[in-house]
Amino acid sequence: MPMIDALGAILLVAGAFFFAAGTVALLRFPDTLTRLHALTKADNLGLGLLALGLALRAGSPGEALLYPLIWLLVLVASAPLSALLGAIAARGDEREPPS
Amino acid sequence: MSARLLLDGLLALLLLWLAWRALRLPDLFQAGVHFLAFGLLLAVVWLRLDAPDLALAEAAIGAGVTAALYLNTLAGMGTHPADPGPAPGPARLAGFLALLLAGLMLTVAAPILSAPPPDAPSLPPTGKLTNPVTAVLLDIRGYDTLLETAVLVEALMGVWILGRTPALAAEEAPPVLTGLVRLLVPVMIVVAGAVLWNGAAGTGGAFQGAAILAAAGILARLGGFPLTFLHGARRRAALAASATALFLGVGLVVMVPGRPFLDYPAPWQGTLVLLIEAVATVSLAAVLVVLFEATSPRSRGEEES
Repeated sequence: MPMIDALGAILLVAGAFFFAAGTVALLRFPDTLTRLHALTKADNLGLGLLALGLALRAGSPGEALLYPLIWLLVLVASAPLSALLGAIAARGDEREPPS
Repeated sequence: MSARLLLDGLLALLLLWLAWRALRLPDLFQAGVHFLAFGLLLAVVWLRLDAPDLALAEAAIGAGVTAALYLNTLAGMGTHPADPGPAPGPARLAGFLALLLAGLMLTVAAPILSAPPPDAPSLPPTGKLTNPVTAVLLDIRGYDTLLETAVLVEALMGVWILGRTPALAAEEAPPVLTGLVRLLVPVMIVVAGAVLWNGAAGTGGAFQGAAILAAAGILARLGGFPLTFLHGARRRAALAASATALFLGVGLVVMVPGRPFLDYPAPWQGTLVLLIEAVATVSLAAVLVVLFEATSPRSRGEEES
């Protein structure tokens, strides 16, 4: 249906915008903790919008179900990893890459 | 200028830039991250070239496992090693030769690149293996893949020669990490099996599944889980050699009714290929995890039971 495809396209563009916002934050924020905060919010939301947009434009219901599952998997994987990165950044590890 | 050309050009430029940075950055950690990004971008390039199997393998092995090996090795040394760099004379000669080589390659490749893309070669009928990549790897050119599995054993021998015994002991890890590992590793094992199973007819295959399984193993090791099924040098050797041994065995057994080496009889083709692929998946994954452990700063050649 063209309406659903158009809605999917809008969601894809919105997702790309959030990714761009997250990348700008990654480049412009002063240190690791603030960058992590921006990335976990903006990039994950962007991925969710991308997943939703792709699901709406998918060829079959089975394929449409995959995209939100991928988003969930990325969320589940990135949350603990961000926590670990944040812990390393918070304790001021000397191995931390320069801001 | 079409959007595809713009995208492809951007990808090519990004690849070159990332490769340059990975080679030239003095901070090895940053270089490693650039290498990881390079691998992932290369996977996108494979997708642009309509090669999803290659993209899967590149993302899993080229970017994932290799970057993990690199960063693991880096953990045992400083990120800014004292490296004086090459002397100016040999460096200039090397640069000149590299430019010469690039020019020669461009001259040779230009007529190929400007010609229309060739038709895909027609393969002989391959029964149930409708994925042409799997059909070529495991059936038509199965002998090459057999020799490739032997390379796994050689890789393990390289580890033995260096005298690095993988520790593989249980370790402390942050509870956040162990919780994540407990959740992710079963999912990754299932996905690896699905990729292996899907490889016969669709995208996937033994090497992609092995890379995902190896990533699960590496993740488990990072979470401090002792992989007891990898303890013991003999067991590791048996796991590494199992792929070659089975492949060779199948190739010899099918000769019994008078067929050539590795010529699967038609009704058994799917089963035999799946069997070989399954064993190769586990074997390659085991070797990759052992390689990861052997490059770890923890294993310094101490003897283990």
